[in-house]
Amino acid sequence: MPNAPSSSRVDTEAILNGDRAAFEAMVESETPRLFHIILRYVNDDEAARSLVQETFLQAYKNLDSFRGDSQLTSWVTGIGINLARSWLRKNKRQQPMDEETMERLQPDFRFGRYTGSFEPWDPEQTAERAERKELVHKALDELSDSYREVIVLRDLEERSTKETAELLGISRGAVRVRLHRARQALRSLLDPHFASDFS
Amino acid sequence: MANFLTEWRRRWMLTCQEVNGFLEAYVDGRLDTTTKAQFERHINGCETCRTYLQQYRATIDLVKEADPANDHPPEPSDALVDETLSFLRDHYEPPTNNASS
Ligand SMILES: [Zn+2]
Repeated sequence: MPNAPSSSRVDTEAILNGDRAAFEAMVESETPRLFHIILRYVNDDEAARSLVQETFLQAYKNLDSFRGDSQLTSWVTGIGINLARSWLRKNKRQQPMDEETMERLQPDFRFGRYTGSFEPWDPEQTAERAERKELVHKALDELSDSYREVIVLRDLEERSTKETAELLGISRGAVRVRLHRARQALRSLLDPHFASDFS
Repeated sequence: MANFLTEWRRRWMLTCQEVNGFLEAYVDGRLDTTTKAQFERHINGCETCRTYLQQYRATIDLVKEADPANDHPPEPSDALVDETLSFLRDHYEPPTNNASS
């Protein structure tokens, strides 16, 4: 359970009462988890480190606006996600993929059957590890944020559908649909590189 | 009779499109026993869906393999915690009243 909530060291009441030591204890226990999620969003070490710091600072300054309808740690994670999103907007994304392109990357069906055919993949044989990673990141970067972040939270963070829905403020159904569409789009983008029959 | 056949088909045979619609739930282990059995019966008899499932799973594995966090020890060093704490201490608002700590 790499991401099981570890709120044991988080004394929410003390933190909300302005106990700085309690806040710093949360910083200590939450930093690793927060660093990973932000790193998974931005894929940039330096940026992730400074965004972690910024997240805790914003959390500290805005403690009054925590309404207690979620765990304090989830609220902090939400701040981190928002900062990571705006960092991406400023620094990385070229043209986010539109819905029409997204639709084109989904499989087509006719009378309930796939219209296309598929060759088995053999990623280990067709690309070196470093190259595989690069291809995947390129494909991930093509997805629009709303699809990419569902991949980050479900497939990388391995958060549950429920937790993902809460963090993103969308329904569980929407999480499932987005995840499926995002994976299918990635599959289409990666297909030319990994089909074993490439002669 | 026709109704019976339709019902029979619905219960026993899924189309490729229906199988596709169940992929996320299947991979997540969320399908009920009956649907899972139908799903697997279809997959066993349909090479296209079998290959698609293989690619769908490989996509997830490739994403996990490319996880930026793989390049970092499971717990980032205490250095980041220290950096963060000293960053915060530089930025905390000066206390507005004389609350003792
Ligand atoms: Zn099929």
